[in-house]
Amino acid sequence: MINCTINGKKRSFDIDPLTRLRDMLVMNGNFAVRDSDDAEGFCGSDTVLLDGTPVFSNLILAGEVEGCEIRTPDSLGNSMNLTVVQQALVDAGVVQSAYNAPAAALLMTWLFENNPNPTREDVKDALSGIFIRDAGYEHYYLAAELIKEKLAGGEYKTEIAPEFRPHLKAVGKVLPKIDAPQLVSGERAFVEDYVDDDTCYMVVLRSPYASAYVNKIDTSKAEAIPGVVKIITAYNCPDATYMSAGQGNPEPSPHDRKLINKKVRHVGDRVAAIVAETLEDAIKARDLIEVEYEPLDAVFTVEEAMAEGAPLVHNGRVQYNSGAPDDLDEYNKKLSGDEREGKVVYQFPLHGDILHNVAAANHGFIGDVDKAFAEADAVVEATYQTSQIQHTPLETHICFSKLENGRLIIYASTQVPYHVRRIVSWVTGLSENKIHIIKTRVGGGYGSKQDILVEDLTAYATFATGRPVLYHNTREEEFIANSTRHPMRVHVKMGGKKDGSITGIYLKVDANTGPYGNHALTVPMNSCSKTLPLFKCDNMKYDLTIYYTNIPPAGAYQGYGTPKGTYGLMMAMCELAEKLGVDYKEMVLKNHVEEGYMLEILKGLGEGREGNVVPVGSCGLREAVEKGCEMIEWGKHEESGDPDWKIGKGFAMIMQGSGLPGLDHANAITKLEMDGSIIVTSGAADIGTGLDTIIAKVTSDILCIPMDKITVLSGDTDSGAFDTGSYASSGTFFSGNAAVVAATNLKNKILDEAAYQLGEEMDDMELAWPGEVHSKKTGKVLSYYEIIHTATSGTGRGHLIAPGSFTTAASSVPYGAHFAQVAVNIRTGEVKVQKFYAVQDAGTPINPEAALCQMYGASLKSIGHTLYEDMILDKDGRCVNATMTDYGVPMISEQPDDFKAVLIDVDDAHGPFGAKSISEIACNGAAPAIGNAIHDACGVWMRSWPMTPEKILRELGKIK
Amino acid sequence: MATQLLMAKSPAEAAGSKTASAAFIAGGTEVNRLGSEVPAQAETLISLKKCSGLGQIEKVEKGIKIGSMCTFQQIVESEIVPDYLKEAALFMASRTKRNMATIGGNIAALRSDSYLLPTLFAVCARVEVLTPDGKQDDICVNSYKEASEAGKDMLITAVIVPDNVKVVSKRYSNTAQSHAVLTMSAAALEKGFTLAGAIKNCGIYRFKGFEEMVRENPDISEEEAIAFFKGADSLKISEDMFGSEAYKRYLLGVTAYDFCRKLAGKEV
Repeated sequence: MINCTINGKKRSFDIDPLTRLRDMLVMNGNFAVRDSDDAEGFCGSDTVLLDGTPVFSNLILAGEVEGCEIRTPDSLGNSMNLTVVQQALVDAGVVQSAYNAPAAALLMTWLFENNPNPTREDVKDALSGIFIRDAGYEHYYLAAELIKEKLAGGEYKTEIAPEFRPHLKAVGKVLPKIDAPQLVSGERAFVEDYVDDDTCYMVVLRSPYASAYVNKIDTSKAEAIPGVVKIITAYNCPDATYMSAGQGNPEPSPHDRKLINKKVRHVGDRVAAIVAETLEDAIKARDLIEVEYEPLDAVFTVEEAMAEGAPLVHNGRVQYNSGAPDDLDEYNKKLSGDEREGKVVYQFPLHGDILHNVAAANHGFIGDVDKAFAEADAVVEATYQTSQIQHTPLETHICFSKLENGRLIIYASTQVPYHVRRIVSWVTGLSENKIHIIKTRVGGGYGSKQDILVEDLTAYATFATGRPVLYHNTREEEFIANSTRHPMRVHVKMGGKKDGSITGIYLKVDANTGPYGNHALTVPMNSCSKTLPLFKCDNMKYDLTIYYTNIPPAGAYQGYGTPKGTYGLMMAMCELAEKLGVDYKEMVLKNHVEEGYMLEILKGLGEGREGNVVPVGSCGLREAVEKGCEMIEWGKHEESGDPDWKIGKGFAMIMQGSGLPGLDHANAITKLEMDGSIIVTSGAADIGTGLDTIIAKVTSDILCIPMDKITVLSGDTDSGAFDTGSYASSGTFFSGNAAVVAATNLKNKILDEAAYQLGEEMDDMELAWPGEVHSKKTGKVLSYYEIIHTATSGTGRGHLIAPGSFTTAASSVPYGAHFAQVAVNIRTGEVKVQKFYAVQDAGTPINPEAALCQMYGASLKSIGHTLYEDMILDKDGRCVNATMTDYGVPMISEQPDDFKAVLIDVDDAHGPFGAKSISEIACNGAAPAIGNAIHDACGVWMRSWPMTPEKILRELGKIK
Repeated sequence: MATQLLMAKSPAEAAGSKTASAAFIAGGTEVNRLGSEVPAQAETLISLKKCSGLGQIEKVEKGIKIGSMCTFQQIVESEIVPDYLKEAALFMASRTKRNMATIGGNIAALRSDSYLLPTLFAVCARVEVLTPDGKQDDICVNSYKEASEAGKDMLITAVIVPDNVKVVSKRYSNTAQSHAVLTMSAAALEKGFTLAGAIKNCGIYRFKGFEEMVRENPDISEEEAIAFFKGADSLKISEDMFGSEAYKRYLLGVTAYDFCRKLAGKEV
């Protein structure tokens, strides 16, 4: 028996003393003590106070806490009664995806209990053991100031964020994210919090080979374990060919996989799924499965994949659901046709050629680049290589499914609930009305939860067994069996005149999609479509080829291919400026697009379809460049005072999109409830970025009703209407605009109903705060309560409900520029990012404090990509650094000393209240800004990320 | 597979319980950590958390005596622990981890990316140990390493470090939280210049050949330092995810040269 005190209450546990403390606490109901790293002692989600000291509860055994006092994050305030610390975190905007926000709140509480006046260094020290991927750390420092002020004087003095649009009460104002109190206090929020007691556990047997046929599986010994419920293999799973990308339907991705394939195509590929009564039984059974593999040669790089005679990743047959080429039968005869290979199904032609490992391709141009290069005073040409990167969300992929009333109920941590439903429908054969997706809060996505990576298998396991099933990726599985950022080889050729004008740009992108083609075209396409339109250039050409290989799968990642295209283009532009003897800033200012410039290059850059040629809309690019250059004192040379450390500056202009015009679609349904409050049911998927709050804010300002009278229900496929999901920076623009449409429709209904009830004309009615209709003619007033009460009295005209649907051909493009000042040690190759300024045009920032945090978070993440992060595979395709420590994500120690996010005020014509997207674009600038700064510091061009000390030393000639 | 947890009350009980199938747990940051083989290999885990007498820091004749269960954070906060050891303890970037990890545990783990061992090697720290038969001993840290690697069971009860020496240290890692590719320390002891390093996936070393070279030529050049490590065949350094052999050898040379200069009072 283990006796201890948990949150002030004495507890006794009759458990194995070797049980981890975290597991004991979860058993006790302290589920906000979470696990993000499988007991690695890295992420800090499992932080508790043990006898008053922060520790990782996963690294302590239950038997060691006999007689100890334990304090968990849920000991702080609840969502109705937050503590000063919790409230400050909410107010500062750091509670975003928030998987370990309760742990962060506990650490900040501990800090202030032990040091009421902490310095910035004290805050840094306290948070040094917690990994924050979404919001960065900068606003934790701000929160600390807010806490100090609150404790000292009762109110905040420090500005949290600038506010926008003074005529509005909610939009552009610093108001708490509506789910933040629930999240920071550690209340039920995530998939794991909704699992039933009788749930089975599923684990997956994964391939040790990068390429092999699975010729035979003997599961008899495993099935003999009494707790085993079902083992799913390639030999008993549905014969449905699909892919995991959650995007438009029909998709611009080849369908090239089944639930479990007879050919494994990467180390970590699914071989069998074991469903058992307990996790221990499932793992035991997994170890007893005997598999007969037939190993095959593999390819890991685009160079290997494109080589003549290279092993083929897909060697079955090709099928087109539309637009099949005339010679398809002849083509298929050249493939092996082996049944174990499966097939590759294109929904429409993507220029794929699996005989050469090409999953998809695209080519296009405007003008004449050859002529442009011939006419140029100087031409630069270089190739830039980017690494394979993992998203590392704190909440690893998880799914809980069960049967209820003859339907599949799926709790999913997803960015795309409706696509999850569609793909589960394909796999199970159930129609979509029989499938209910409940998107819980999402503990970090960054694109990885745009792929349906675990829901298909979990849902099928429930469908096949009738049992509730929980599946939860280990951290290693996040690396080897999930989705990752496509490694790319970006070749840039750029020519320019001595006056700084760019004459021509050629971009050749060879992308590595890994074994499956989810997002094969769309992600790499962004390396062209979200970069070339930055340039006012009449001659541009791109060649894009995406190769199948046997690395762990690639897929969607925040920024898609844009960071890589931006890296190559902006580095090349800086090099060209130097070659031409032109100041880089002046060259940027001379060549960037401006409002009204017609973007002809977009014609070929649709997502597998013809793109829309549109003019540049609102554009804060120039202001961002000017502002950032002023902040970083562009042109002023800095000395470190240490001859080993050289200082340099660099920057890059950036852009992204706000969803996909002509492809994305969003819906909302807004209802006036019986007491005059509002419920908005949105198809949107808030993944922690504050989309629900955006919906509430636009509704609030349109309907003149306070935020606390509005509830947003989202991400539930039963109650909402279709939304393509949260990806491609679409949330604010599409789902936000759908809410605007719905609220506007409800406003009209309210005005009409009020006019009816008052016996007046609708034109004489106007809405007024807080939730009233005023007659401009008679001065009469009806509250929303009075209106809905009468309307639903039985003699009235009924409930006031308004749908809103949004599609558009218009494009609202966010622009910006990111700036870096680095110090490079020319003897050791070490790099320190001293300053990083993210200056962005997000249109109207609806949630300004959350917007700043997302800029910090994405910038820090991309600093990580630039300098540290790299999935390293051995010669057999096995990832050798599939832990958080070995992989190398930036934490508070890596944050630049001087880190600023600045919002450029631009009012967009198409976004909701002038808003554009904000977060994704912030992934795009770090690599070229830092790369150019390194060049400024020590003269070398870093043409491969991550820009490690060893690579820098090689470029400097210090090592061979 | 561990099946038993023994909460030792005293060092004697802990040391006396140590068998080939038992393992000590100190702070837990290594033994309980993902990837640790200890729980799978040992039948009994002997926790030292409730062991009396292992948590003090005191000044003794030979320097500062630090109980083996003192955490990195206690070392950082101590008023009497020398700064050079605090610097090494702060190489562990996570405060939460520093609250747990102990000096004894870090030594016993003998990791090739050890935070403390290069410094302890450089200053020729002494380690007080207790054997299963109750014998107490006071050995240098290098001897502890050799004995431990030879399979001798010992419980570290304390570490004694000199408090009046000049030490320089440097840790190279991808991020602050990553395992180090190289951690080096050098000290200006009465007996002369000492240099030690932990090279990831290679080992922990006193670089006596380099020390000798410096004693013979205190004005060693950077090129000579780099050349020394480039040609140090006794170091079996190989390429791995942390870097190439050439990179690691280069860093060894550059850092060793810097240390020579710094300890000689000449900034590099």
